[in-house]
Amino acid sequence: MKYVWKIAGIYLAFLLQSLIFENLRMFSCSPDLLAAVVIIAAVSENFVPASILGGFAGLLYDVMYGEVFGINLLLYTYLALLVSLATDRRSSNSPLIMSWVCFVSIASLEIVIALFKTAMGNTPAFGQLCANILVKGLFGALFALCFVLIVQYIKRKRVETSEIAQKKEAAE
Amino acid sequence: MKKFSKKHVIIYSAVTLIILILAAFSFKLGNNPVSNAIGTVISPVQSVCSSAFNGVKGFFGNIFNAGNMAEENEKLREEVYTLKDELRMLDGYKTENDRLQKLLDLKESRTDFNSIGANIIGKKIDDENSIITIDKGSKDGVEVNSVVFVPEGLVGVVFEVNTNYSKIKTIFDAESSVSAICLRSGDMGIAEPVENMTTGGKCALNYIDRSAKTVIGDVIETSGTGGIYPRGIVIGKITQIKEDSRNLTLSAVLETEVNINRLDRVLVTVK
Repeated sequence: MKYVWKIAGIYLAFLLQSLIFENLRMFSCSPDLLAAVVIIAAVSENFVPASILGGFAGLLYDVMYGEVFGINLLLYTYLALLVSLATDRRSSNSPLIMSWVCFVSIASLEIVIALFKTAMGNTPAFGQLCANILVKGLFGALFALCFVLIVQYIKRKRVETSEIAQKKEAAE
Repeated sequence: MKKFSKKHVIIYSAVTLIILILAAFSFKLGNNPVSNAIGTVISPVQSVCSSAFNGVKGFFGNIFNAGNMAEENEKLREEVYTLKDELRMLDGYKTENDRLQKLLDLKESRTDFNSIGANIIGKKIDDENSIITIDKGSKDGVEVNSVVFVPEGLVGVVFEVNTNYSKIKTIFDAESSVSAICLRSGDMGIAEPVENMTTGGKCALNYIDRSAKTVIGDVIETSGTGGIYPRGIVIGKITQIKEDSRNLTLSAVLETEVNINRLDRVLVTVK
């Protein structure tokens, strides 16, 4: 059931990315919500489910927008795999670590994409690469920060509610 | 926590190999059964969500699109002062009707090819790519190289067709080039995108002969040569003419009325 929610979350992120975030442009690039969601999911999962979730995100991208099938599928699968292998699952509780992981992962993803384009004879301008890292990375970091804070707040509220209920029961 | 073992190395290598084989097939055949099957399931959902998100999209677009914010704000302010709620609602219907009427007029005015209306269900725009997805596919008669256009001008060409959706590379994509002609003087050139304008608004007209009589304000259309784009679809208007770096040909800046961010319906040529 947990994975159904995560897959639904990734699909929602994909819809938001393609229908809203593609229109939000700063320095000629738009924030990458999908990558941020995949990274957050990958940190909180073991590497096999993380890769599957990443692969699902890449597959959606390839099916709807990819010029050649498989590029994003591989990129997102390995992004999720590496993030999951490189991080501790407990890191998902720390907003600062999550922001940092998100920024570094998105920056690495952008560099890999730039290298891939260079290999195809289509070198992107260095300034554009920096703008991509800045806009997408900072957005990802901010999103991760907000996401973890909101999740922690909801968890805290739940604990408080259950504690109040227990006290009431005890009093009765 | 599970460790990354030899078994995992084998599984990941096998999966990577399968994806690479599918990618190779996709490159050779234009699409592959896996993406077609998944796309067939996803595209109707995407279509419904696209309509639902239209309002939200416009709202966020106004907030974040700093370049157009002042203009949009001015427009909205004028609307608030000049129209009452009921009139505004009627105006909305009228605008929609005009837009559809324009599309219908355009469709009927072109008897040299058949076209159908399509809704845009997704966009992928970055510093180089300008790709849109529409809700019409092979079952509606769309083919690879079908041309996509709107009353304001040429939008692009279909590069991948699936059963019920198609992908379009717009004329603002880095790889796009369209043979174009000046309506008034008959001078020819190649319309190509300009850097950082993947959402539209501007493109370049390159390789114009030095003896050309094209002037600022001339309307540029598709020339019909090359076998993909039919003749006579407007691309844009010339706003600037300059010599190229080697002084061999002229190049011009074209202002296009097509803005990919604002498109939601297009016409696509069919069999």
